[in-house]
Amino acid sequence: MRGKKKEWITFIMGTWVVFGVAFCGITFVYKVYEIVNTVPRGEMMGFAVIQVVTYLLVAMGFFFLFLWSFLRGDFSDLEASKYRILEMEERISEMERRGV
Amino acid sequence: MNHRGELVYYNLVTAHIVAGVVFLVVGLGAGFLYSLQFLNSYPLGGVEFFSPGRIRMLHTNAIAYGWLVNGLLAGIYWAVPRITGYPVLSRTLGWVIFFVLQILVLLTAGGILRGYAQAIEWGETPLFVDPFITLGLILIALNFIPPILRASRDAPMYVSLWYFTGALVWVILVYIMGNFVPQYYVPGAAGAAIVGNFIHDLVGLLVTPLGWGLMYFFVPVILKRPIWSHSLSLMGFWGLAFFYPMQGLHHYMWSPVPMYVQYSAVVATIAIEIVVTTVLANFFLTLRGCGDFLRNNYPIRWFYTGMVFYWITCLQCAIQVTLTVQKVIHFTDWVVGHAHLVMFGVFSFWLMGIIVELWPRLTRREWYSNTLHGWAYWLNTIGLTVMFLALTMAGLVQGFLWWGLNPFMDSVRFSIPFWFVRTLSGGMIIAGVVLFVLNMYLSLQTETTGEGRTLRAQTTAG
Repeated sequence: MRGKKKEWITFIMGTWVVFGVAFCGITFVYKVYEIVNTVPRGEMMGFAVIQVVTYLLVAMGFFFLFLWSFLRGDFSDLEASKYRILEMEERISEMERRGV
Repeated sequence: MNHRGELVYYNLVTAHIVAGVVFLVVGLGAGFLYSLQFLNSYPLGGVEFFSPGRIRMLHTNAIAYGWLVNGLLAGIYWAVPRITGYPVLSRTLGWVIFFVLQILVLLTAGGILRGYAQAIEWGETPLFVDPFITLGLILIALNFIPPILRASRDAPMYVSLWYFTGALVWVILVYIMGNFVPQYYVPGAAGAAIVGNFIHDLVGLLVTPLGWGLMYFFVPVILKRPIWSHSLSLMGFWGLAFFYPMQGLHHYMWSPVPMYVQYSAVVATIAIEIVVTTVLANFFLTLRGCGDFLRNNYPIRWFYTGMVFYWITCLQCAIQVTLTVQKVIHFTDWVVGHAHLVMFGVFSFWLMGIIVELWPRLTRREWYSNTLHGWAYWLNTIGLTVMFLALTMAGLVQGFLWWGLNPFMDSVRFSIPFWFVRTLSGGMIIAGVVLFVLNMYLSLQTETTGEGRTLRAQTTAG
């Protein structure tokens, strides 16, 4: 019974996220379309195109970096890294103490 | 781990710290000198080489490129090898970068004083210096990214490494965009909008990620406890990556920039405030149960004071980018107060905390005096708070006077008391920094402890 409830919650949340992302994506694409449309209308209307394009390129780069990170499993054990750096620091300090 | 060679290049860290501190003193001196112009007491009036406009640019550039870049490089030369377990690509390249950076900062200072400044705020570096700075930034990325890539093959990356990688890549793009695009390809008003983005992105995509990356390393290491939530810290990084780049356009509210672009800048800025709140919540929850460190440990005290200032700055940012508030504060001293709060109150405080932590370990000597530490901390904290409040109030007075269409000279007359307080508080900050540097120097005169690199700055706060 509890398992079924969890499935439903996952389904509802997932649907909500998919629709939310889809809606935001469509409005975002529409805004980009609007900006692109301003370019032929003269310099003042195409004012911010270079910045928007730069932003999109950089954001796209980071989106793919995010995707790469996700696919290689960086988000599977999110908390492990924070313990690892403390262990590493301890080891390095110990080696320095011993003059290695 | 690879410990066949030296892991951390201590001399490089020390050299960057010393160079940074020298530029900090020069930059603060220039700022103090410039503030006298507002009190009609500028001592070098009539000397073109030291005209107030040029001294102002010397102030901002010495702090940004001389102090902050040197200090942050010192921090990541310490942190990156210790997080990854691998040394940076090359010690020789590190020294080349060090000397090139100092030469470029000196050339920038000389160029500005000779009148060759580029007409780009915070990008006043003369045109003949710009290509070399771009090359220098590429070399810095080349030196730091290899150990990060090697570590990323071993295990998922710690959040600091994400921040460092982001900053090293972003800064090259930001510098090229701000210094070359308006100069050669997009002149005039359209170029001004790009300059707005450049100013803000230089803070948000270079200094901020390096600063936070260092905090995510130093705070857990000093507290000897992990950050409260690594997941939340990653949210902070990705939030910065996606929301920050579009913020800079909020420098041009009410300008001919299309309104939907202005709105996007407002939304991005407010979104960043939410992200910043998650980051700060993470750090304060890390401190839960060990609040004594704020009293007993100077590095932690500098770090957390800087964080409080950071939250205030970002909250202020989220409010001041709205069209309603912009109507009042644009072009006023409010903005100057805001800039001082973030560049000095946040990043300089963090760097001073890092120096307090590292100096004994680099020099193998105890700090000379805890009392001097206490004086330096309080003079800086009180001085900066007073300066911020004076400039913020001056900004509101100026803004409302202009809005009421009063004569411009009225706003100048009403501002003088605030400018006087600004100069006084600037004097306090300089005094604090001089005591800090004096403590560094006097520590060098003490005998070595023999405790080597493990000596920590577990100072008792006074």
